[in-house]
Amino acid sequence: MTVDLPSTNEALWQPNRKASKYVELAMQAIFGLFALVSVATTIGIILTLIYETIEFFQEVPLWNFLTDTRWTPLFSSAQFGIFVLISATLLTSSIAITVAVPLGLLAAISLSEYASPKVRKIIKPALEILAGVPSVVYGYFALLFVTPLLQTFIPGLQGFNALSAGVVVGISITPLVASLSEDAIYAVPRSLRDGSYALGATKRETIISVVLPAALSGIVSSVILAVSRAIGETMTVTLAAGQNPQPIGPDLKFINPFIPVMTMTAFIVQVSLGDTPAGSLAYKTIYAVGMTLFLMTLVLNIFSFWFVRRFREKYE
Amino acid sequence: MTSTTLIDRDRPASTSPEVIFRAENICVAYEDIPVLENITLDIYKHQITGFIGPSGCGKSTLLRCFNRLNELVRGAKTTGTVSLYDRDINSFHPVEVRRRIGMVFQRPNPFPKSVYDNIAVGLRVNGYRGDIDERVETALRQVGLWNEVKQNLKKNAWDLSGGQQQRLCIARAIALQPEAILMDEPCASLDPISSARIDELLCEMKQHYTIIIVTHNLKQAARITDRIAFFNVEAWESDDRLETLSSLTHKNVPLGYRVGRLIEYAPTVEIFTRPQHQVTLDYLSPGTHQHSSSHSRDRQY
Repeated sequence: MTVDLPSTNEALWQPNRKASKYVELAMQAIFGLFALVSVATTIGIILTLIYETIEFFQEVPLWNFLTDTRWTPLFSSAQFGIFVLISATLLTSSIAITVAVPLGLLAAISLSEYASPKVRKIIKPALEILAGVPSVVYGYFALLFVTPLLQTFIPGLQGFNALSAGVVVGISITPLVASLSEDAIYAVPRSLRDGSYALGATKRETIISVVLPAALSGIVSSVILAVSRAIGETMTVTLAAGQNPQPIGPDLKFINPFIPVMTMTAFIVQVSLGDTPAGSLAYKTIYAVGMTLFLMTLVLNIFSFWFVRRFREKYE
Repeated sequence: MTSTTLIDRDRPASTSPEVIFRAENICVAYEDIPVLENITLDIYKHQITGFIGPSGCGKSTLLRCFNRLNELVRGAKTTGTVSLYDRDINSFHPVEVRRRIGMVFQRPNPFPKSVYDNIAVGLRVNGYRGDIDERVETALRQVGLWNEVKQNLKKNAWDLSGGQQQRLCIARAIALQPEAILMDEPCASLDPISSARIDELLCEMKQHYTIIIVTHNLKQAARITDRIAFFNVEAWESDDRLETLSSLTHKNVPLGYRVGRLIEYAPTVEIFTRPQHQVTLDYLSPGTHQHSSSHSRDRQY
């Protein structure tokens, strides 16, 4: 074995230190600038939201915003009960999650545990393409296909309803749940599975008692992300769920999935599409609703972030 | 050198201990690439058998044949038979085999669950009808972990130290009351103190269990094993060996291709004092035979 000798020939090593120093600085500046643009945009949006929301609450007391049972901002006797919109949003979102979680999770398990590498290589990108279908297409799919289909089973179902909107939103976020959960399940190291098999566990037992618990944090964060996507979903619910704010009352119309409802996003669309003059109360209303929406998704994202940090499994 | 002569030479004359495993003509290929060729050996009951040899010689692969873990690897193909007390293990349900033959891996791999559940999960999946609490305690006591964790059995196993994790993995295997335990370099990722503890533990366990251990640590092998099998990667020189492999692979395996072989299998004392082969001697005392060409640590294609 021969060993390379230490080199003493200085002439061979002449890096251009001066140029590389300027290049380093320039690169740092360029990257910093672009990072700044995205951060500044976010801050700008939040500041606008806050500013207009404060304006809104100078005209409508926060108490009314939280306790009114009707949402009639465009009527002369205006009422601003935000829970009318929140309940509709939660209604469609929970239907969506009820559809998306089992569907997505089972798809993820079958892809990562049972599918051959070949099948996985084809199905997974296909699933991700499903996530790229424009939401307006999902909206018409819900309105013109799913609603008539459901009406054959549920006679009382109206043309616009929370149910089919929720189901279709659920389908549209299934790829998100499936893809992220699959990543989490696939990342569970082989050594854990081997350990389980070596104890005499079957494949099913290994998946249920070892693999899924190990992937839990990833699965939960994918579900939370999907929930916040469902809450913010706009086109599908605007098109398929209708534009009728249902007053909060003992008749429980506000959580009836068979009748038209108005979600927060649908309201924002409705007002934005009309010729609402800037600075009017209706104009400020959409900021207040937008702010509420933002806070909900923010809380969910923070929760998901915390959850992942708290329960993340470090596979060395 | 045929495998029959190997066994004849090594088999103790009169007081021969009971044979628990008999491996016959084991060949293994991954994705049409052979890694082990024609391994035949007997494993004796209540002994510690060591598998030693350079990396890539197929020791771990052979180990995984004993509990049929290889068949879970995609693209792995095995021929030959392994018998447990004269019964072909392929005739068992694979889950049954793995309950009766425990395994401990190179890196501690406790499940991300509590210490208690790490042991209980194996009992539950095997439908254990007895008192689970009692089995958990017994197993933890046997590996000397009970006093360290009894205060907090709900603690996540991943918060234990590496040595504790590995002892937990051994406890997890012992809890199923297996007849044999396979160990794949159980001390490779541990510090010397944890490693010494495990050696001690293995020597105690020998009274009740049969242990097969793969190790790169020759001192460990010398200290704790009763018998040693030395494996090496060798090129095959003539076409006659291709016969055995043709059943395994579709590819044309070229001459000079390197594959794992059993070189020598004998009581530990004999291996260390009177190895029958030059390669064994080279492996056991590296540095003193620098010009030996057979001393290859990596498998080459």
